[in-house]
Amino acid sequence: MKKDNSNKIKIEQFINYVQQLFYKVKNGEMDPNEISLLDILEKYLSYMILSRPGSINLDIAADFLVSVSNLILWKSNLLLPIQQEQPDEEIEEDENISSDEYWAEYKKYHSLIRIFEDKEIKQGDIYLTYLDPKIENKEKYQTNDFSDLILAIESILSRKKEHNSINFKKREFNIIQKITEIEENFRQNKGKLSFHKMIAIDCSRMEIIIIFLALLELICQDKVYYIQSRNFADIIFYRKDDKKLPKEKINRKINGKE
Amino acid sequence: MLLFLSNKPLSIKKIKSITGKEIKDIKAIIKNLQSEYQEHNRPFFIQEVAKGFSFATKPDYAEWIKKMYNNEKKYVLSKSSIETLAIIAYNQPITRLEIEKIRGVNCSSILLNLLKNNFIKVSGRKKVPGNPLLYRVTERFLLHFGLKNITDLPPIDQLGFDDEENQITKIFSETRD
Repeated sequence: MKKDNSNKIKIEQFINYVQQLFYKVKNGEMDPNEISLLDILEKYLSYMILSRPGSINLDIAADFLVSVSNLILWKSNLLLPIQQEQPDEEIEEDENISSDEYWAEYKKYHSLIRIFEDKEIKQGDIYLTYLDPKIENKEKYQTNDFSDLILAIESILSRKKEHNSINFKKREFNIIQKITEIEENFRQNKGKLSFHKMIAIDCSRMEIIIIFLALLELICQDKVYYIQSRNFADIIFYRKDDKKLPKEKINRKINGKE
Repeated sequence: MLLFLSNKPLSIKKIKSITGKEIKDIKAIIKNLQSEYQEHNRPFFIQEVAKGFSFATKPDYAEWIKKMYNNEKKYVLSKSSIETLAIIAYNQPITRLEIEKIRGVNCSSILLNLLKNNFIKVSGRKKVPGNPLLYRVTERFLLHFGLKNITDLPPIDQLGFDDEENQITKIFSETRD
């Protein structure tokens, strides 16, 4: 082996040699302990740097790295104590079982894709009196519960990071003040307020929470109701005593229908 | 007439509450109408979909209807969205983490897209540490795939075998009957 390494050989043959060496080790035809990695590396580097200065064939270099990395792995595995391999094997077996189970489970759902696609195509040619919302494009009022409001406030707070340093005195808020402010805003905006507009860009996290609590309080006091035209749309708050609003909409909201 | 005017599939219960007729009679009337339309080769039929009944046009006339809607295509779901929907439909209510455990990849953006397009909805929070959101499929899911009900789906235990195609086709044809 070492004799072969000492011979001057072309780069292609040299790479083939390393690959052959790896396969021989892998097939158990050769003992990895007999191979000197240092020797191989020296040969390779001397060829790459000295015989071809300034240019490196990346394909050859990559092939070499893969083969040598595998050899290093084989050699380093030999350094591990044999006794420790037993529990590893057990774990591997367990992982294999769970992996099989996982694939069986996943395959079930994956196999449904084609069926669902077929059904989608078939149903795509059938038009119902109830149209695809994309075509219908009518504004529908959905039933809202407090979970929608909580989701909205969570998403706003997650986007609103608290500033690390505030050098001036913080403005203090309280819910009663905020309720009065909101009621005043309702008067100015003809009984209609947008949730996003209420939470101005310069609002701190604390202020947003106070506004939210104030709105909840107003809803609990039955003074305010809210409508969201569709998922992820802005939530609009209406004052209940506003006579300009269509009664139908108010009733719909109060009864919890549509 | 009720079916004709309704803007969404009408359930038998709803028809009963309006007309006061017995469920048995309503079913018989719908069946009669269905066979009548079929006999006279009408361009429409009554489809049982999304827990109710609705007037639907025959696929042969789809081209004309598409032209009427300026060739606006219906919403088409991606493979990954369909896979996610299938997982939700069979395991609902289900958390995002549970979906990801089956799919093996992150599903946040798919879930957001499905939520936006009303194919799924948040049905509450699971009482486990972190209180993750629970998802369910909506009526739009049933409408989109022309399913009568969530129970219209084939039993999951019979899916995913070697003779996959034959197996699934067989199961679906059985459930249809």
